[in-house]
Amino acid sequence: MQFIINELLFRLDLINEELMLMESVIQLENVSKVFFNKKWKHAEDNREIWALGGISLKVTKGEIFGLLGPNGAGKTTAIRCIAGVLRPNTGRIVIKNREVTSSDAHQIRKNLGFLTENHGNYENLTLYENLQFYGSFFNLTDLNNRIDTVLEEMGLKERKNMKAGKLSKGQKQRLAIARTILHEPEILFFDEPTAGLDPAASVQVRNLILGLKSEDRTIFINSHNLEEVQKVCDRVAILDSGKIKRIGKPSDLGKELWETQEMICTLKEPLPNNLDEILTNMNYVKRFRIDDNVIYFYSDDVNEVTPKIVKELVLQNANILEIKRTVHSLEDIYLKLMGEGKE
Amino acid sequence: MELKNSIRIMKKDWKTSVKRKEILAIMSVFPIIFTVLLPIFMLIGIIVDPSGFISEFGDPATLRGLYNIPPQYNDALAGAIMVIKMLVLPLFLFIPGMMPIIISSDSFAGEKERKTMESVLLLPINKTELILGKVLASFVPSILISFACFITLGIIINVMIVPYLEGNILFFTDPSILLTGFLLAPFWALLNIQISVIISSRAKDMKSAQSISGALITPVLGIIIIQIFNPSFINAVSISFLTLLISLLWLFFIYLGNRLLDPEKLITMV
Repeated sequence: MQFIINELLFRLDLINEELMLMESVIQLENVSKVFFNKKWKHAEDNREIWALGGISLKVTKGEIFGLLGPNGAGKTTAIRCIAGVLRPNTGRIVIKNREVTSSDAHQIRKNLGFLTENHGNYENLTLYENLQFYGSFFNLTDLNNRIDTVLEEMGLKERKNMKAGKLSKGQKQRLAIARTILHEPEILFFDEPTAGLDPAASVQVRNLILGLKSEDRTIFINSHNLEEVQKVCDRVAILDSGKIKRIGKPSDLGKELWETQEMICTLKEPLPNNLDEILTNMNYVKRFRIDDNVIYFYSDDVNEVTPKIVKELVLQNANILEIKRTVHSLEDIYLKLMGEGKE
Repeated sequence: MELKNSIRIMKKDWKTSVKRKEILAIMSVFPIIFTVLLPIFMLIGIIVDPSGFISEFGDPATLRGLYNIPPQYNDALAGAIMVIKMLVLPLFLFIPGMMPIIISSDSFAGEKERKTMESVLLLPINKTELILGKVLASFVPSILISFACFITLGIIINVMIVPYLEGNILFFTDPSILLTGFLLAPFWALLNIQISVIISSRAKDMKSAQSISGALITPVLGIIIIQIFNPSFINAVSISFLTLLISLLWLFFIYLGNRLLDPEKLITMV
């Protein structure tokens, strides 16, 4: 009987795994991309530049996935490989259960929308002409109507007949986004969507991305803007020198990186004289540090130990002003990972 | 392959080209020079003194034989045929040779310069559709202009020597001239476009693409020199043979272009 139950559980696990694979709309398996620099003449120079060094990741339907990394980490190369514009040297890329190959990448691109790092608008064409050109490749039933709708969404409808070169930087970016969403693709790729934009325009773009998520679209964002990624992404991968250093939910990445959690307790009054001894006796606390009237507690699980600490401090007549748990921001995680790389 | 996609690329390229003043200026100045000004300047001598003009080049009877001039043609018509075959026709080849180069140099180098290359490569089109679109964008307008110039040229020549025509029609009745305008010119344009598109894909910017592609026009000078030393060079057979040779070269450059034009290099070489 036990054997049958185990067998059933095992099969259920397999089905579950299969379902997970089915659900993933973007899948990269051990993807590498090498560039050769022919200008380097000396034999001792390493002419190979590994833009991607065997990266694997999966993005599920409806998810906003962020690829985070410094300039030159390989983020744009990853998007170009997914689009089929660059041929990976190793590995395979699957979009919606269809492998991206150079022969039919253009067919796959029909369901994808790309916002490139350079906006890519034709400056001497009008906004309408720009969208009309891009839209014509997607066999939209009512292109003119659709152009009006996206221009309205982007707040550019009044400038429809203006040349794209006359727009401000933020407006140019909005036109590029209009182009990206014009054919209502299921999967969207945004390469540095807020680069060079002022804070107000950045917020606008971020809200727009969140709006697209609510339409159940899958979004892949390349960025080195930590704040942006933290605010909009469900999961992130941190990429450095072509390799993925960490992948997961922003909130989970911190747990993996820091062995102990930190809780900060601020007291209103000077510390009691015997407090040091009391704190040492708290064997559920891994270590602690006192800085004037602030005590830093370190533990494997601060949520579990905080009530015990508070109870003990109250018993010792300590006047607690504030208790807070340190939550590692994506910035902390990123800087720690980049620091590891340098070491 | 979807031809529609190539036509979309062609239309867009044409739209962006006509909005550029320098391209528009060159495309209007060239035809005026080679179709109107130069022929008028060259034919003035014939109108003033037809017999004197033909004697300047040698024995009239020998020249008539060399240029295959019908015996019933008077000295003015004979002189006009000499000028057409020796200079006007080779110079006309500058139009289908030069005009498309101006647009095709911009094809890929211009996209790189304007940083629109990547967004074009991300369109749902394949490489062949893209290259064909770029070639058509240069070919269609330049060949239409060439044909218009060719017809205008014939009309101008006939109008200029109208007092000497005596019921004959020049230019439009000579098979070698017609073959040059309607057969050699299109293939000549296609070859230049194909080479220029390859150059454009490898060049960093439009100006360097244009200056390298400019060298493509030198074979025209070769035809002029050959024609001066061998007056019978321009005839129906030689023009047909030349067209065949050019079309074979064109096919070779199509093959070469497909091999050399790598979308990967188009964005990584920027």
